Amino acid sequence: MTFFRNFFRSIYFVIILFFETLINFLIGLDWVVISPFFLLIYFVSTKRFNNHNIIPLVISGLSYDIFLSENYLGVYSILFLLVAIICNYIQKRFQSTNYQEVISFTFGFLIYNTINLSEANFISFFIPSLLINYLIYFLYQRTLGNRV
Amino acid sequence: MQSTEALPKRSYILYILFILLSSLLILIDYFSNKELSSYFPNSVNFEFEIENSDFTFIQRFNTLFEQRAQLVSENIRLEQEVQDLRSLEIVNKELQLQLESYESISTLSNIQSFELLSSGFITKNLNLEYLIYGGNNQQLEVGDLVINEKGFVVGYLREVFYSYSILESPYSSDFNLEVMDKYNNTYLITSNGSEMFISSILLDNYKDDIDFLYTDISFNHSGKFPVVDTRLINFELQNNQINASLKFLDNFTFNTKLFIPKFK
Repeated sequence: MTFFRNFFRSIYFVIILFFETLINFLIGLDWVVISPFFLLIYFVSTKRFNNHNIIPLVISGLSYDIFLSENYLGVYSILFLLVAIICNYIQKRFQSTNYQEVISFTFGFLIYNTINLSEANFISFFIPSLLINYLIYFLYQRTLGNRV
Repeated sequence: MQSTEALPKRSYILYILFILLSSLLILIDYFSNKELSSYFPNSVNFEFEIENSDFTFIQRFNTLFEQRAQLVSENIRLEQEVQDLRSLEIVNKELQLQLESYESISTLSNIQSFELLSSGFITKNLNLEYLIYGGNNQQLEVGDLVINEKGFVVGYLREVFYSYSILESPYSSDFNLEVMDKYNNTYLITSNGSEMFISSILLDNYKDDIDFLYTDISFNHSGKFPVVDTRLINFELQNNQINASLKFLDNFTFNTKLFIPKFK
């Protein structure tokens, strides 16, 4: 049962990750990226944090390394796992503050884009992407809240 | 209290273990010169072999569309060609008519020494004065003779404007024209609008076979052109005088070809 759950969840994660690559390729803007996979990681690490997400995250990272990146195998697995841990940690650490979600989202997004940190226009790309992705997450939460 | 704070940290252990496992993978991949990460891309072929038969329908559709496009363009081309041919046919008819008139006029003996300016009727007024094409722009002058396609004089220019002129024809009562026969006897042709009157001025050497009355350069005419065929009328000497009348046989139409001969 656990195997099938991890298997299907992995497929689901990989699809979202590949969809992210596809949608950014189609949009083709240098100054903004839409990251549904980061939103997924953030959501599962803050709202549904548990060890069942580890295998899907690792498999997603491996898939990305194998098919879509030039990095060594495992780089993106570590990245995704780190994003999940840090988002969850900051969420718990700043639980008492009003801006815990914004802070954890920002840190998580920063780590998610660590690979692009060396690029010259990182700031001009990071800020709009952060705002747009947070807006999407915010709207998603509102929609989910209304439905519930 | 302690247990609730310790719970998140403990839950990270498995995550950290997998991070270490992934680091191990990086090391293996690094030392194997990326053989591990390139294993799947090299072994999995994403290019599907598609048989030609699968494209048959698409190719048929493509061929169909191409043929349709070719037919449409061919149709447009043919339509344009038909229009061109129709316009050419009209031009050809006009040119044939013009050629026929030139052919008939070219039978005149001395016509080669004249430049024939083609003209035609524009309109006529109540006094039966005809407006014809051609004027100062073609170096026409008052008194220039106007001949028809048979070479017979039909009148002379009374007034010349920039691009049109007024023709004084025998249908006008003001018409008068001095003419000469081949024996140099001179005559005056006048008109009352419905008939032409021919009266002799000077008959020095009259003979019966004069046949035609001509214009002449001695009367400041541009050349020698026939005006009246005397064989068709009662043209006889009586009391050393000739007085003949001639009814107009045919009227001018707007299709009548007119020429204004100018000496080259």
